[in-house]
Order: sequence, then structure tokens, then C-alpha cells
Amino acid sequence: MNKLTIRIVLDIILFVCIVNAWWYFALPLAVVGAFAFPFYIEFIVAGIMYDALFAMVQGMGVWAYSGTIVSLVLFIMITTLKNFIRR
Amino acid sequence: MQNNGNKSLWRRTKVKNFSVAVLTLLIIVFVFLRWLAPHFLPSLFTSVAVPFWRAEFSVASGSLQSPQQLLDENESLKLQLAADELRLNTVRSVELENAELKDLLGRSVDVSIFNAGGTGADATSTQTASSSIGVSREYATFLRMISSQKPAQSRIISPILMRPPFVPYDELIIDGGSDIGFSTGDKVYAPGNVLIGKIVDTLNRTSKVILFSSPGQTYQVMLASSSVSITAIGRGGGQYSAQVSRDISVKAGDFIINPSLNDRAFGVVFHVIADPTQPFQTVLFAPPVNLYQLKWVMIDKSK
Repeated sequence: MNKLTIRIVLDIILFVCIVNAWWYFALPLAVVGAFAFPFYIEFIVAGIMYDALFAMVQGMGVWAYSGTIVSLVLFIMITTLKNFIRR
Repeated sequence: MQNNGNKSLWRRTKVKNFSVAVLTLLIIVFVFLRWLAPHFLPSLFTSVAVPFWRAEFSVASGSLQSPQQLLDENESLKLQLAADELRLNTVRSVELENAELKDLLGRSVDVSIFNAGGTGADATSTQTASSSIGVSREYATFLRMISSQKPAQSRIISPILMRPPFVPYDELIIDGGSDIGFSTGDKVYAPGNVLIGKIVDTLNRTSKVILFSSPGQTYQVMLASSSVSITAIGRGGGQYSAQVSRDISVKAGDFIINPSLNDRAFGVVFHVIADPTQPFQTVLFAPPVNLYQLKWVMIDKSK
């Protein structure tokens, strides 16, 4: 099983978790994916998708984008950490 | 060797710059989309997710059962419904008779006792009479709550695709959107005519319902037993809390009504936290339905 296949499988599992609002499964999976694969942009897409499905309602304030913000921040942190470790 | 090192550094810098550029572009596109077309992303992802939600709902509702099983279940539910209706009618007639008898008892007492402020034996009669009239008033309020029926023509039944605790933010995702006439602000009722929330966002085929018990939401409600106005604060998970003066008598089972939303039962007190050192007691109440077990809701499209 090559890396691309594993990445696709992980993406499918991530998609199922997001559709069912199982963020407690999706978040650790996405973190693992961000560490294991280069430029794991699916992490940010998952955050945006989670907010689009269950939030993004007027009147919720910044909480309406919590998935997007968390995924973006974690993605940047993990990318920076990876670059730092590999230097 | 040095050339290889420089090439590798150049490639890494190029990848890094490219990543930053793509990320920045994504953020800009996202912000513009939310500003110019706020429903674009929700509609896009919801159209992908809705078939999965509907399939899960169908499976949970028993669509994988054999036709004979479904027919048997339908028959047994019809019989159960008929028996429950008969029981409810019997209970209602007994309650009406009870209220009428208590009213009669209340009318038989001389009103001048209350005005003179009677003492001794008169005080006992006063207490008996005032308690009878007080209970009778509560029963009349209760009967009005359970018997008042809104015409069903303006309501549409809608299945719940996603509900708490799986959905965050204490909201429901229901099947049905602008395609069947739902709009923002429509009230949402649970079975039993219990008002639980309102629609806050409508897409083409789904709608988002925010429950009134969402954390931070506040409402002016009233204790039905004492007609005292209190402020209810949503705690999430279908629960509310309210601060009530220590002098007011509240107990588990008391009704809460919300005159600004409707005059029906809004909640039932399930716990009272009374600290003798505090001037207030905390009343915890919840809707008389279990939100986590709801499968269907009714949408009132009339404004």
C-alpha cells in the first residue's frame, strides 16, 4: 500500500467523521495526516466543511468559524514544527 | 556538493513560498465567499452530506426491515395510539370535573372573609378557601395549556437529520429548506406542541434550527405556579437555568411558560438548588420532551 493510497483512505475516513460531526475522531486523524503527509491541505478543508455543515450561522460570532480557525492554526503549527525538526 | 546543497535549499524555499501563497489565496477566497455568497460553502457541502444523512435516518427509522415487519409495527402503533387517545380523553374529562368541583368549592366561601382579614376559625376558612382558589387557578392555567391547539394547517412535519450531542452548538439539522417554504424565523415544535427552537438558516434542502436552550440565550419566562417573571438562561443540551428569589416557592414538576413565544408549557422544573446563605435559588428546567430522542419536529410557517 503506497502513501497515496493511505492518504486517500485517511481522507475518506476524515470525510465520514466530518459528515457525522465526529470531530473528536476527525481532529486526531487530521493531526496524524498533517504530520505524515506533506502539505496536508485536507486538514483545512475538513475544518471549513465542518463549519459549513454545522455552523456559519449569523449571530454565532467567531464560534461560527471555530473549525476553520482551529484547523488553520494547527496546520500552520504542525508545518512549522515539521520544518523545524527536519532542519 | 555545494551545488546540491544550494539546489535543495532553493527547492525548499520555493515549496515554502508556494505553500504560503496558496494558503493566503485560500484565506482570501474564503473571506470573499463568506462576504459575497454566504450560502455558497454551506450549500456545496450540504449537498454532499445530505444523501448520507438521509440514508442514516432511513436506516434508523427501520427502512431495512422487511415489509411484513413494518406492517406489523404499523398495526401495533395504531392500536397503541388508539388506546392512548382513549386514556387521554378519560384523563381530560376527570381533570375538567376536578376543576369544576374545585371552582364550586371556591365559590361557596363568603368573599367578605378575605376583606376583613379574619382570625381564628375564619383564618382557617380563609386559608382553605384561598388555597382552593389558588389550586383551581393553577388547574385552569394547566388545562388551558394542554387543551389549546393551534390549527395544524400551517405546520409541516420534518425529520431531524442531525441532532445533539453529535451536532455542536445545540442545533438541529432538519430535512427541508427553501424548496418547501421554510424560512428564517419559523418556529419549531416538538411532538406535543412543545416549542423548542427556531430556524436560523435555510438552505435549499436543509435548515438549521437553533434550540432555545443554546448556551447564552436568555428569555423572559414565567413560573406558572406563582406567575413570577424570571430570566431563563440556556445551558445547552436542552436545559435552562434561572435565578429565583428564595421567598418564592418552586418545586420539581412546576411548569414554566414563555408568554412572549407562546402560552403553552415551555419547560418543567426538574431540580431546584437552594443555598440557605444565598438570597436566590437556582431553578433548573428542561422541555417536557427529550431532545436527544426526537426524530421529527413540526415547523410553523405562519409568522
